[in-house]
Amino acid sequence: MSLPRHDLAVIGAGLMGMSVALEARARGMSVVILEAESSARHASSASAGGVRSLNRHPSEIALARASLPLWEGLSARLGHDCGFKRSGQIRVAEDTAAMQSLEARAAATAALGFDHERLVTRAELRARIPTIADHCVGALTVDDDGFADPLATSHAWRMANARAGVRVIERTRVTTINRTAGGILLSTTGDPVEAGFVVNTAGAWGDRIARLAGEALPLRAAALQMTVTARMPAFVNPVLGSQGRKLSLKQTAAGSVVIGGGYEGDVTEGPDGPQQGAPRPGLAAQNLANAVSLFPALRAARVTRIWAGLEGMTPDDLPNLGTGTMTGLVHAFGFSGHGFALAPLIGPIVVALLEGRQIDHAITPFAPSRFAPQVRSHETCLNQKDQVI
Amino acid sequence: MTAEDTRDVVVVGAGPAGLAAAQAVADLGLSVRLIDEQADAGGQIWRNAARMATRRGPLEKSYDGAADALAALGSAGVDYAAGATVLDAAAALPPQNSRANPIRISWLTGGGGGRGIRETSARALIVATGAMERPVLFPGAALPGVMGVGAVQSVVKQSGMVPSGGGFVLAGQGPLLLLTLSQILDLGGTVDAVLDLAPKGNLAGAASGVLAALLGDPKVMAQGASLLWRARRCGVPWYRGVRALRAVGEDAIEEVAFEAEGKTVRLPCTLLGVHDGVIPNTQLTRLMKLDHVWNVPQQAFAPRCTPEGQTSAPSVWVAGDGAGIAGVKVARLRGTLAGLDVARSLGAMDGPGFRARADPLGKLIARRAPARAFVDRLFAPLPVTALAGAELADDALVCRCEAVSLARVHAVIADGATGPNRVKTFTRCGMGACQGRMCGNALTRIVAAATGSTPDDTGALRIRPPLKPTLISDYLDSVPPREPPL
Repeated sequence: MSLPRHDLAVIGAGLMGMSVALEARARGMSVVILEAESSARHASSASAGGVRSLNRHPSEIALARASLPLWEGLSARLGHDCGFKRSGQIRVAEDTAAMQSLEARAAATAALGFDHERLVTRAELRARIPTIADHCVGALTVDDDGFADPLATSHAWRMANARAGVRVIERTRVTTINRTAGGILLSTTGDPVEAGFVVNTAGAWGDRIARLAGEALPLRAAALQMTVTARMPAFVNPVLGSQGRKLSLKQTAAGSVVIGGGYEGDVTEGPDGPQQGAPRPGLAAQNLANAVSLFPALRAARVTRIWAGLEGMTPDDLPNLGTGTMTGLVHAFGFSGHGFALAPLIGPIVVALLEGRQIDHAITPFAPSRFAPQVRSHETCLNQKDQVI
Repeated sequence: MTAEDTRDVVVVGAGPAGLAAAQAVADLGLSVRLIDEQADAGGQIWRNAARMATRRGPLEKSYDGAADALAALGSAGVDYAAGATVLDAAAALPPQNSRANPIRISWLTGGGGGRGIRETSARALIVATGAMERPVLFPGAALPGVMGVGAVQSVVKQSGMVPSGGGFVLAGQGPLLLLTLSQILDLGGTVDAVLDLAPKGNLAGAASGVLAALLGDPKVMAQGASLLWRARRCGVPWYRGVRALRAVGEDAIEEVAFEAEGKTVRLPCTLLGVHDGVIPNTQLTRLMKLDHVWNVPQQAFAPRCTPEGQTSAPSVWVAGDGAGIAGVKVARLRGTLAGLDVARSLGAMDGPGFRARADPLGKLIARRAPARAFVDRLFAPLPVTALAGAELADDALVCRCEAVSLARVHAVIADGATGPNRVKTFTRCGMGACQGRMCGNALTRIVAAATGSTPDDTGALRIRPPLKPTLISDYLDSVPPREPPL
């Protein structure tokens, strides 16, 4: 039996998978994407859409900064508006202790050679966001950060891939992964697929895919809760967080307010791993209380939807981005709730890895091998968890 | 957060089915939490029943049986929450099912006595959320002054007031349209025209079932015949075979335009009541991710269930029009039957005792089926895009909340949005305040027609909590005073 052979098979048609596929196609590869459910069904469309370099883990700052210019040109490149807006991102301090830790953060970032984060005084904060609660004393901001529309962005990537001739095979689950003489053979719930390279962008299911290739990578599925309100008159421009509270808040172009911040609902497990997320009303209430303490006027807003998208979380909250133990396999999953901003950059990085080209960014902190039991590299020890959430 | 409320059974909806179910369950000694969204029990058909049920007059017949049914509210064991809204519901499935109370409902209490979100857990849930009007797509449908005939009738029942100033036009088909016309005329109101959207020929198609229908439910057939007779002789101008319906106006409807008998007609209009039948309200059962099946004659989804109403989640039952449109009498029977089945499954009645009471109910329900089939054929739903001709499609809105037109939906389907949720993510159709309640049925039919697949394969919009838009302040009142440390 001879199978149609592809240069690349991508497993998982979320934003990361679609970014990798489009980039590989642009480099002349033949590409197929295998998707167990439907494209961008989970974390990609349930994302808050933050394009944030503010308050990133030190290892991720360079990637987040490098991704920003790609967002600027993304709508044009994909041929569809992704809703990207450079609104700025701002992290508010609600008391002097919080302000001191923001000052320490700013100093630490500057010491690493970055100048994108900027401290904001109480007066400037009030001038910039007149509706903010009186008790806020200052903030840390990145003026050229922003957000995009996750649904529009997923759609744009999907359409661009279709135009480029990338085939997306939905509702088809990969069941085995085996190395062959010429590449990698994937058996699936549909037809088998053979490819020279395989990229694992399976998000919350990335560990299951890795296991099929004989690699044990730790991953936890989390149901990250988001709440959205009915449309309101414009009251806040930048995407806003608070030092010391679980909160991320932004107002979309349509006027609805999207509120998240890392509260985790319930994950239901099925025969094929995590199945879906279910939000917990009590946690949504806490999340909303956080939002109201910064914007008292939000009390009168109406909640229209609460959802919980499934995301893969690694033990150190840094992605698995690098080669797998099987030759020809590359992992790019486990972005731990802050991958959206990086999506345009992940395609070029992964394709450079596949082609054995030099990579412009330090990705060793994300090497999946850091989780291999016996090899604990020096870098791994240096990876402190983000101190500020 | 308020102390948790634990019951044997939660019943959602206090219409004919919900009241009957609550009564049946409570009579067998089980505790019931009955949650209803309206200020007064009775559902849509018995709206305002506490005041109307004992009143003589033109609406009297519509309240047949209501007074008896309302007695359930006073039953020992029934704790009735009026003006309360279910926000979220979940049924634990095996293997978690070993928990004593698989059902969890989060709901917003009514005004008075403190608003707030409460959690109720229970051993079983009976969903009796009734029917809603089928959305009708036509240009101008979103203009103020255009409303469903059911909504017009609700106002009449609630307030006793009827349109009388002129400019009131009814458009559509179905028993509810005929009934509302008759009631408005009886109450002294005026109707300027009826635009009959039923294709000619439906009567011939339905005729073969008329004998079985008459034998099964002679009373309903007689009522229907009398309504038709009345409608034809009431003197209201009656336009048949109406096509290309359109509401015209700047800030509100000023005219209704349509084609009939090959001519274009324009009538002055300030209130247009539109109707193409009713469909099960499946928002709650969809939220709970229960299995649904497409009812072809009724062109709508209903939860998959046993004859007793047990759904794909073993601790959840449906009863009444929410389980498939069958009218008030069958709703009451199905409510009782579901209540008995729940009681049996919770061990409050044994198998033979259950059969002795359930079998006669089953027979009564079956006898009425031919009459329903006849009505379904006589008033077969219009094709979903029948009133939105290609040249008009740009201003025929599928989703009013987010202003998504039929043309836009067709465009994204052509781009690969081959399911309702895909259309939703591409266009925001169904993401507005109504949570897709208004557009869901139309969207499934549009996608199925455009992709050449069945509605069952096409599926429906995913429904997220809260089921109704809810004030943030209502959530806050349920937060513990101190947030746990991060």
